[in-house]
Amino acid sequence: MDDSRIIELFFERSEQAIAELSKKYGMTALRVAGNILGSREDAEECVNDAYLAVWNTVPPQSPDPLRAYVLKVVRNLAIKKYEAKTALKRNSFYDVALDEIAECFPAPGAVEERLEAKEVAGMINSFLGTLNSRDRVIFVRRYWHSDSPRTIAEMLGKRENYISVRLSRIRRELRKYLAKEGVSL
Amino acid sequence: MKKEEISEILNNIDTEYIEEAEDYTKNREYGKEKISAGATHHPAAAKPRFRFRWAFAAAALVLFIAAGSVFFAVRAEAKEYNEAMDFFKSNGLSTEGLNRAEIKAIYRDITTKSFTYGKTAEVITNSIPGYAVDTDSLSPEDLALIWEKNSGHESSDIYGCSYKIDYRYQTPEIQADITESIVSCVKSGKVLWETVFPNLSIQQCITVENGTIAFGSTNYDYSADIFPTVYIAQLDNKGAVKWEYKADHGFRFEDGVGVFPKEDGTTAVFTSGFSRQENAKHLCFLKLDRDGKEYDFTDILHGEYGFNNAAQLGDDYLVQIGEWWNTDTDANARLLKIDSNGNLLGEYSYTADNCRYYITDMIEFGERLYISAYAVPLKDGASGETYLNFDDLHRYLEETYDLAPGSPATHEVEITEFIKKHSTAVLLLCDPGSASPQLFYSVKGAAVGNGSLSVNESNELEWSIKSIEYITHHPLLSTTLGIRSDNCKSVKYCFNDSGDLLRIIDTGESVHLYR
Repeated sequence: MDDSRIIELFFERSEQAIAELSKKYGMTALRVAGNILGSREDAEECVNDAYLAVWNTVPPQSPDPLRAYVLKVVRNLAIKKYEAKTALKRNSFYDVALDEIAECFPAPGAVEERLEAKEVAGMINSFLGTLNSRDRVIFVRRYWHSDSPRTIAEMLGKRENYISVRLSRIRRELRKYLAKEGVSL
Repeated sequence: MKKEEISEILNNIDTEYIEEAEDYTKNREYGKEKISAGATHHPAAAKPRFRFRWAFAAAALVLFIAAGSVFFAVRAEAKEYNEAMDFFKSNGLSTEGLNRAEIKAIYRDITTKSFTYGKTAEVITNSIPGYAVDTDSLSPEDLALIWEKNSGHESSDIYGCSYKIDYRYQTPEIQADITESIVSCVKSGKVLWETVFPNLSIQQCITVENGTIAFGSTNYDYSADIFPTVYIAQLDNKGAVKWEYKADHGFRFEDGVGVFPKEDGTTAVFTSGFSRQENAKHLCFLKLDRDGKEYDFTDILHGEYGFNNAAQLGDDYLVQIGEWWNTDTDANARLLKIDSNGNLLGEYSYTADNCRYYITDMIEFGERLYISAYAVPLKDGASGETYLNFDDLHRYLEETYDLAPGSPATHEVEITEFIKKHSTAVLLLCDPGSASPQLFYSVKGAAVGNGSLSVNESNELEWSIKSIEYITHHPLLSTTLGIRSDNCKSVKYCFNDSGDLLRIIDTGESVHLYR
């Protein structure tokens, strides 16, 4: 079903909207949540909560594109849930992805830490705009979706080593870019 | 920058890039190498912020910390005094003639077992009726012995006790970031001891000869690049730590899978270590001597899966190996048999009755190994898929009951029947020789969750199942693969150590079912 029709169903307050949303983006949403939470049961609960959040926010919102909106909600909820339970269970993909990219940002307590997240996010988006689409996809899949290099390699038909090398180069470029923008490490 | 902030930054990645990443991976043909597009984001937006505000904030922070220190010091003193008073009261010690500082000093002197403070001997001997000795002649060792013999603090038999583990959190409202674990040993409603583990997450305690083995993990601190690892401690009968062990095998982080104290005082441990280079988890087996020193280590195997449970089977062990993502294979019913030296002896999975099995828990009881699982029938044909998913539910309802497509919210009776028909809770029993699991008990129309096996205070095996009662399916509360229900009954099946079913207890509790 077309996204616009799904949105219409939400506006009509038809519960079929959830079913259609689930059918179309459910598996993707489950993977995003699962990469962060590492548990199918938790991931399913998180996706449930995300559907409820979408139901409660559409209308008045009319997200376009719908998929990114749903995935953002799922990711936010998954991270909240992950942080709440992180002391007892840890997940490889999310932790390691965050750990990897942390080297691009100022160390905790550094002067530059005063920069607000939105400011740095703006820089990251600008940086992404300078990349070619393949590198951008690799970066987003790794650090937003928390996909493992192996998974990304399979998706793109490349070798895992190729993805790891690309990620390393992209991080190096990001460090340079942020430094140029006044974020010294 | 803290990981939480980095996560927040990444959260703000542009929607168009998220869409692009989805499209690109869905269609490899996509994507001429376009130099895009993110031109709407101007780095100029990131201007340095006003420094004066930070200087002011720093000054305020210093004042706040100074005021806070005084506050905490006063509170800590009051807390210690109250603890000391409780201690005096519960041990029948008299506070007569003692000031506040002396009471605290005696309390510290006894609880730290130093017995060197001048007034301690007098207070202890006065508490013992008919005891008259020259307190000046008592050495700290003598005093310790008198205290042990007369205060009821001799080594007590803690067999049959249970453990209560509480946590304190840095962010209590969401129970995030454990700052300490508080373990209490309780027997017949009486707290035998309580031990605080700062910066540790204790997850389980096991009673052993003359004490307790506590295990869990160290805390993480992303900002300091500290990752968690396995923590094990042996406590004595009063809860004092005799030795501690922290795993250090060069992994990014390492989790405990199972801890097995042995009769000779050594401890066998299974851990799961994550290797960042390989993006894989390693199943490791190690042995600790009577002092908690590691003297044997085996890296058994590694791969992109998790190791969920471990249990003892005679002299060997069974470890469950799982791939959380892979529900449409037998990956979640795989068992590894490993000998007492860490050698992999074989691999098993349980398949029967044209069903797929999902193992959720394992336990050794009465010298037998029980495995709790639920079974879902496989579809006809060789697809290997099960009747788990949401689409099947619609199709089944429409075809079987000739229902019009649409919201299934009104078809509770049919949905309940469907789900009950396609889920069976099973208790498997492992053959001690071959390790091969065999069906021991099953309950149709039911499922099991994690931690469904335990031994109760009467030393009976308790198997907790979720008996499906009435499914109120609502698309708003379902997932792509799921049914959610508050209408499962929690029912416990109790078995003795010979495997005889003793009774079935309807707990009266409602529980959730996710499928």
